[in-house]
This record gives sequence, structure tokens and C-alpha cells, in this order.
Amino acid sequence: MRLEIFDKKATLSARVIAQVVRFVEGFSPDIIKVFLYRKEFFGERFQGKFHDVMCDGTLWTHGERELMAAFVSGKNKCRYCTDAHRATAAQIVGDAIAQAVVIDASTAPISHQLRAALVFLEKLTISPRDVDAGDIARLREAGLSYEQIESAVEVCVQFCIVNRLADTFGFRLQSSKQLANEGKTLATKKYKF
Amino acid sequence: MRTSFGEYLDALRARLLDASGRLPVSVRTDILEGRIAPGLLNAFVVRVRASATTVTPEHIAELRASGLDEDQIFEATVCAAVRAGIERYQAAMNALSEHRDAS
Repeated sequence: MRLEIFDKKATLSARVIAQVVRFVEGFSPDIIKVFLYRKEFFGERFQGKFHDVMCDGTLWTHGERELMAAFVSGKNKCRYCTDAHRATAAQIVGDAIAQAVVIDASTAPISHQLRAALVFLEKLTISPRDVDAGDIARLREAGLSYEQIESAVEVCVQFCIVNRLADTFGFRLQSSKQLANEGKTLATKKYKF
Repeated sequence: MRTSFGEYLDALRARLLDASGRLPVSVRTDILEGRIAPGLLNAFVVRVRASATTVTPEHIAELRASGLDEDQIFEATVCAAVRAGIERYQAAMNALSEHRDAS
């Protein structure tokens, strides 16, 4: 990574956790180091919110939220996060759907509601200042509740933050095998580590 | 009871400002409010917010050469990224509020 502090100034407990992850998963994703570095400043609170945003409740399935995450990351052109969450989505909904959403959500075999949400999330991700009540009206016409819209926004916000960290700090891209392992971990542990 | 997402963002923002850090609180505040940051840091922060994929190791090196240490760069990056998230949250909530009021 581009900052040496994530390794050189990591606490003993952070190093131990990274080593345990490496032992169990075969590698230690850079994102873990960043979340653990001075975790009281940022990582603990930010990482701790992911379970709620990605898995809590029934407004959207976990798989649908992973598709949103992969989609938003793709729109931010964050290769690291797009790969990781496409792999996670693939574990839940299948590789074909995960790929299709990232490549072209307009033709992906997904629900009408999810497709409408992704159209909105694209606009929110790329040009938030242009988002207005008309966008909400279209989501409501597509059958989304206000709560579903808010839930989708939460996914977008979390990934608009983490995408920027991944790209600025230069997270190492992961191999296919690493992505498959990470996808299985996120799909089964649901962000509760 | 689950904390609302808005409350979570407020708490996240407050933590970034309350926690002891290497960047002055005034600079972290400027970045989190989307205001101009001092010197070379401003161009970097704008780049993180608008197009983080274009950040290069040379941009980081330039900041180091200007006298910033890596903890300051870390803090500035996190604040800029969170600012980008907050902007989108506020945009969406404003649109939702506008629609609800008109309905």
C-alpha cells in the first residue's frame, strides 16, 4: 500500500489479527489493515456498520445489497471493491447475475425494483447534486418503499467511502482464488468478524 | 435499538473531529465540510473526493515532500472520503424529504 504506517505502525493486536486472517484465509486483505489502523479514529465505527447496512432486516436481501455494492463500486471505478463484492454476490445469487449487474444492470436478470434502485444509485454515486424528488417519484412508481430507498442509499454511502480509501491507499488487487475465499467469508459471516 | 444511519454518520463525523490526530481539527473540519484545505492538501482532498482512482503514489510523495506525514495523509483521506459519503447521503435525504412533502 502507499502508506507504510499500516504495516510499520500497526499495533500488536492488529498484526495478530492480520496474521490470523492470513492463516485462515491464506492472505490478509489490505482493507483489514486500514480498518485496524488507529481503529478508534475511524475503522472500528465504520467497519462495524457494515452488518447493519448489508445484512440487517428484510428490505433487501443480502445478495441484492452485495449487487448494489458491486454496482456502486463499479460506477466509482474501484476495481478492488467491485471485484470483492461481485465475488460475494456470486456466492449468494450466482456468478451469472453478479457479472451481469456489473457489466450492464439494465439487462441483468434482476427484479424490476432492484433495477430501479440501481438506476438511482448510479445517479447518486456519480452526480449526487442532480438527485431530486423526481428520482424518488420514479422509485416509488417502481414499487419501492421509502425504507427500501433509504436502505439502498446506505449501501451507496458506505461504498462511496470505502471505494475512495481503496483507491487512494492503493489496495492490492486479489487473485481469483482470494476473491472466492473472501466472497465466501463475507457471504457466510455477514460482516460479523 | 439500531442506530439510524444519519445518527451513525453524525457520530462518525464527530469522532473524526474529536479524536486526537496529527491534522489540526480546523483542517479536518474544513475537509469534512467540503471547504478549501490548506496548500497542496486541497488538490489532494478534491482528487480523493471527485476521482480517487486518479490518485497516484506521486501525489502521496508530493504531500510527504511538502511536510505532511503519513498519519496526516491518512486523516485527510478518511475525512475526504467520509465527506463524499455525507454529500451523497444529504442529497438523497433532501430528495426524499422533498418528495414526501409534495406527496
